[in-house]
Amino acid sequence: MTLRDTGTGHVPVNESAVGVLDVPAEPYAAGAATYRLALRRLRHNHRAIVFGSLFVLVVVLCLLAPVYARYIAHTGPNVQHITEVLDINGKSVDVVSLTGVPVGPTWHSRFFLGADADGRDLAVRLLYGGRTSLAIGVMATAITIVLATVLGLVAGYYGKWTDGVISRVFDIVWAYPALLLAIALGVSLATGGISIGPVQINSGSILIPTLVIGIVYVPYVARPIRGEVLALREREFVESARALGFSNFRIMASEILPNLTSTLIVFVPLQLAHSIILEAALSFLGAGVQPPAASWGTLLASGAPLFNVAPYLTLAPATMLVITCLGINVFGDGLREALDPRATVRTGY
Amino acid sequence: MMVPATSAAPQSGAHDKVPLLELEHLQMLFPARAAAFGGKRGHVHAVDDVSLALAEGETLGLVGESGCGKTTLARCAVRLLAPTAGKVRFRGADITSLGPRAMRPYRKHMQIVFQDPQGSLNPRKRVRQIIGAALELSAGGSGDDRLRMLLDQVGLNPEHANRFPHEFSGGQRQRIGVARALAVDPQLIVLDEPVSALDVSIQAQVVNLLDDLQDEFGLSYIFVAHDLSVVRHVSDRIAVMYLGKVVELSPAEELYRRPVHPYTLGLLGSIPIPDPVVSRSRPRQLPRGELPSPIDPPAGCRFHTRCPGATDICREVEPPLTLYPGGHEAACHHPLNVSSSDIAGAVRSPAASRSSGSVVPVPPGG
Repeated sequence: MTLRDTGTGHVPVNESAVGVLDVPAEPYAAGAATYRLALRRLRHNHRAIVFGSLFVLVVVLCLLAPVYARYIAHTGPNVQHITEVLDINGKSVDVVSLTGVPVGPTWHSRFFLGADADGRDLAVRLLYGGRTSLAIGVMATAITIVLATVLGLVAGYYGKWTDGVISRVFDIVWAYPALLLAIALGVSLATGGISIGPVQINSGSILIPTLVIGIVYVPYVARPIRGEVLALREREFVESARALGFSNFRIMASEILPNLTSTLIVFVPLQLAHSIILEAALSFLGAGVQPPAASWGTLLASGAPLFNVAPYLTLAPATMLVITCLGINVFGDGLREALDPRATVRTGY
Repeated sequence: MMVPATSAAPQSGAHDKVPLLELEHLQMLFPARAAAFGGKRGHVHAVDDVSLALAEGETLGLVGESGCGKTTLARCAVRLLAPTAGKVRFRGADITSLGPRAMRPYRKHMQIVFQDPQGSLNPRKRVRQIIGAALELSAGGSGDDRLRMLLDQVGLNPEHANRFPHEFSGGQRQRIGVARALAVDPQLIVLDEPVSALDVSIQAQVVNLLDDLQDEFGLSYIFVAHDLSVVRHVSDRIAVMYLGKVVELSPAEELYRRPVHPYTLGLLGSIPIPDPVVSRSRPRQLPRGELPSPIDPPAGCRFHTRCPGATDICREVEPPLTLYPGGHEAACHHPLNVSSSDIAGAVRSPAASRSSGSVVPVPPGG
């Protein structure tokens, strides 16, 4: 029994027709190949690579803060040198003058970027502050992504009243501007600390701003995730898993979740930048990291009153914030372009 | 197209033993979106009181145009949907309202192959994972040998187990879908338009593959299609659906030789013939107009709005599914191609809708 195949003559039916049928698939690809392709596109995006490296540089510098403090600046982030006198190129200079003006950048190993009003080394505090800011950013992003994924999956997959309850809670959170909500939560929690059963978080802990930032952003990520799950849930491979009798948990975890990864990957840099900025804003307003602990936000706050006499106190942390978030955002844009299937058309890959 | 080697299955639902699958007065309504203010909330009557039985080893073709409820019926049959009313029985056991957990033991007896070979395979998983997950349920072991055997059985190269679905052509993907369904050693496979998304040249290969697998494993099929040409050679019986109802049910060849319902005649006339001369010269009686809304289906015979031979009775009384001598069933007040002796021997079919009348059909003009 044979079948006439247009063009190529006779195709033997029911024998291995694989060789004949072995045609390439659609131009856009899915599966692991997406990531391989995305990585290749990303490598060719020089702008994304440069700005990504800038961010990595900031991270490395901040991680090396203790090394810098100990071996170069010979001081700690909270050590005050108010009464000390520095010898700069043969001139004697007070770390903090009698009128309260701190020394400016010395461009020497000690007080490289100058001192603050309490006679602390700004460069050291800047790096230690970066550690705090980045740590809060990373942890808050992790909280946001994990909570948003779980809630978005559950809401989108189960639908009905489950979706209704979760989505209405999102609406309530969303109704407040993120900053206002974070300030309200931050202020109330920062003074009293958190005490839920055995979990105790002291009022000064950086875990409080981390939690606040992480939770405030959940709806912003969970909503798009939910939407994507709504679409994926109707796909036939999910029905096929149901026809095999798989549990809901298994369908969510092993059928739907892997299809969300590219969306989640795009959200990570976006959320990281958002979280770092929100941390700075909260700390600046006193609802985030509590002094004397340093973060870019608290540095901005303590430097602001002295802006006229010592502008570097605000310019230095502000510059770090700009470089970090610019680096993350431009890299994130490149990442999104690389993962977007339609980028195939634009870049010619 | 070609003729399958066997059609040993019973021609009209064997009464001596329990059918593999029974659908009894099955009804599936979906809530329709209500109008913004004060609108009455309607329902889409996707499947409306359908009764069918499938014997072991039998292939039942299920045909109808888009929106007639054939896919919904197929999904109810494997309990991907819970019907609004009616019963689904598998080997006599009522599985209509079993929960997901209680349904699990039955899952490995009934599988489904979907229309869209792309959408039915998870793009993030390798063939090995896709079929491996189904093999976990199988009694026949879940080792690598079994996987390679399955791929070989559906005509795929076992070396391709580590590939992703997008690396295959449409026909190959559908073979993966078939392999996944086979992996659990089912007795029943519902084929939901398994070849509609494929090239015509590939369609025949997949249909032949399905036919061979049926012989090899003694499978029963419900083969859903939207045109009559595809199911002709694989089906033992064919059911024609229109707007949620079965309008005709007959042994396969009988349906083509002697369509009783005007809608079936219309469907037959819409089969494309790849020869313009032959195509133009054949007499055709296609249904007029558009499919009415399943939210508010026409009263009486659902086909009367498009039927060339509709009369007053068609607009008022729903024709019952009528069993003619020889096992041919049709729901029409004015049946075609039936003799007066056929009509004399006609009885109301036990599968007739509950809402249908008990009026015996009258010959045209009689």
